[in-house]
Amino acid sequence: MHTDARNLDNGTTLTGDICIIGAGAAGISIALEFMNSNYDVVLLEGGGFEYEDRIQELYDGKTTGQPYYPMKSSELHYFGGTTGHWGGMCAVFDPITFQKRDWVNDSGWPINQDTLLPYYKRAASNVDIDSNNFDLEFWLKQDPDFIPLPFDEQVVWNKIWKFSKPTRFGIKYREQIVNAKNIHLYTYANVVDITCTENLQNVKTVTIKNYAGKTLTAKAKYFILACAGIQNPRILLAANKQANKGLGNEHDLVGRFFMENAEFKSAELWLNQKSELNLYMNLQPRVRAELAIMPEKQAAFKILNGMVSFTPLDYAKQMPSYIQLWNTSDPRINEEQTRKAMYKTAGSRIHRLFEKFKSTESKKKHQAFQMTLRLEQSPNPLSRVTLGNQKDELGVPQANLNWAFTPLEKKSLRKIYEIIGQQAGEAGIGRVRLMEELWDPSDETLPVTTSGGWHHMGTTRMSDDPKKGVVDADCKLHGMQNLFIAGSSCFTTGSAVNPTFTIVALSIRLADHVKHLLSISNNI
Amino acid sequence: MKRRTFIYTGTGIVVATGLGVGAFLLRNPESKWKIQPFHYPFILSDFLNEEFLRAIGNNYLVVRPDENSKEKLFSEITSGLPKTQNNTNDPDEQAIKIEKKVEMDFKSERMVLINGWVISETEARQCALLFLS
Repeated sequence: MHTDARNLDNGTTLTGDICIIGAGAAGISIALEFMNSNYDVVLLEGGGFEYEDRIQELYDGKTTGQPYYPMKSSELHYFGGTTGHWGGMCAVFDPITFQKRDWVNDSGWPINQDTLLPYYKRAASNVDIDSNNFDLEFWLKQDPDFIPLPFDEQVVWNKIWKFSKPTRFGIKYREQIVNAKNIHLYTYANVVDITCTENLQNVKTVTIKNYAGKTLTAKAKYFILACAGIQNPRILLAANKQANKGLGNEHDLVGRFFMENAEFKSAELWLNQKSELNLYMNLQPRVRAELAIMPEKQAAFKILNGMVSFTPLDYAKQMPSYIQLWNTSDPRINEEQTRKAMYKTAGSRIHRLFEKFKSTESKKKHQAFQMTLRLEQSPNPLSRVTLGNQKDELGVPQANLNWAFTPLEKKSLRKIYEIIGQQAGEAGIGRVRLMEELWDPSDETLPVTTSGGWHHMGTTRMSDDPKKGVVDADCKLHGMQNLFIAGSSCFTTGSAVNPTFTIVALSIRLADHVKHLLSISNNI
Repeated sequence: MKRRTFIYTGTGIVVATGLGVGAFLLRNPESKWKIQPFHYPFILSDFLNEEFLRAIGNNYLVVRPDENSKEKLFSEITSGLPKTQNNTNDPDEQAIKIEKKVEMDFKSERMVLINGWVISETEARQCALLFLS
């Protein structure tokens, strides 16, 4: 079922067994898990089914620290959420991501990779990847042109990525959600406040507003906040009428530890024999590898996890960094600028395939490649989302972001490139050249082209200890009984892997947990 | 995956020896390193012209002034090289041996970062010798 909340009577109360706040990758994945169950689901979406600039305006805010994208265009505010500009890259988080590492402050999840593996299998179908086989050996057998770089397997390994179409959740799942009898989707339903019981242990209602001037409430046994890495902490912090510092913020952790997948284009690989590096190119069958550093070496060098992809240098030189491309507060313009830049450099996919078909062997090969490093960001309490002084049109304080790094990022950035340089030299296949911003080992500043992927993580981090995390291992807000958080804001560390696939896996796991709780309460 | 597989598949040419020698045989016979193997780094010469190689050599000597003589550099470059077969001065054979030493440098992490290039100490000394010549 679907209702446009602007058409409801003022003061209407929406009721269900669960109330999911936000209809992006996380919220829709949870709703799908409840489809055709005996439970009534209220699914609240702040926007409609299409982009609207006035709705998107609700996400505006200010940024400080390392230059970041305009807040307004960083997350998308309509049904399907930020999958509306998702790139489609899927990979599983590495085991080391979850581990406590003595050289990475505040690392260590209360769950491990094994916990998530069964959910990754289920998540694969949500994002339309045909299998969830991420094993290098499997893919090497599929294509004789997939040749790994001849590096020491004790030092470097090949991380397999798969590519979703990408699945636009808003398009793919609209009909299913709207037609589901037990799911009631309300569009134009922005949650602006949360009201709890007096002891602050349970959410009683959430307050909903829209531009039509309607104020509504929603009641449920369980609430799941699924509004992504900036809006989740914003809503918790803004719910400060009963809890001065915001909901779940007794230990001043909500909004802190904001992390991105930092991207750097700071080195080149020059080969002494031209190569296609097919395994590392994003070609059919929509799979590619990236170079990653073995966990033992990460420990030995005390560096963060990072992964390196390759782009022929003649293309890469023409492609601006994301921080230069995604510089407007209108996501449609950012998308158009990206499309134009990609067209200008590599051409469309069809064009590239045509070129591949017609070009000679020598033209397909390249001597030099730009190496893009996607780096895990070290958890840093100073990197944070806070409430600003300005309010949006519905009266909620805007979210401000201070994106901040530690010296460990620069050290890791330099070291990872050096390791690959050492491997290229030892293998005798070529040499690595570092860009000037990495030449001085005492310089801790990051390059001005440092980019992120619109991947907002860590702001309601997971920990068994309420003094170290906002949610527990089940994504339940510490100290509360019926409020859960879904999405990448729960990540304790950011990994070097794009978050969407893990967001979906973690959301399916959360859906299972809430179903279990509902079944217990029904039996009682 | 061994390096030979990578190179064989990449070039379609099968050679009987390891990468260094294999790539060596495919190279332009007019290359300067073939005439002066101690002055021209084998792989770096593929990407960098003489001006850049000399610049690397100059900068190496800035950070290692104690090696600022042709004799010292030549001694360091040839140190540890096995004796030439039949005691000849065949430049091909010398270049192969230097390249092996370069690979060992990388294996042992005897590397330097000069002008952004992650290179072996031996390569840096070759550039320095070229700069002084």
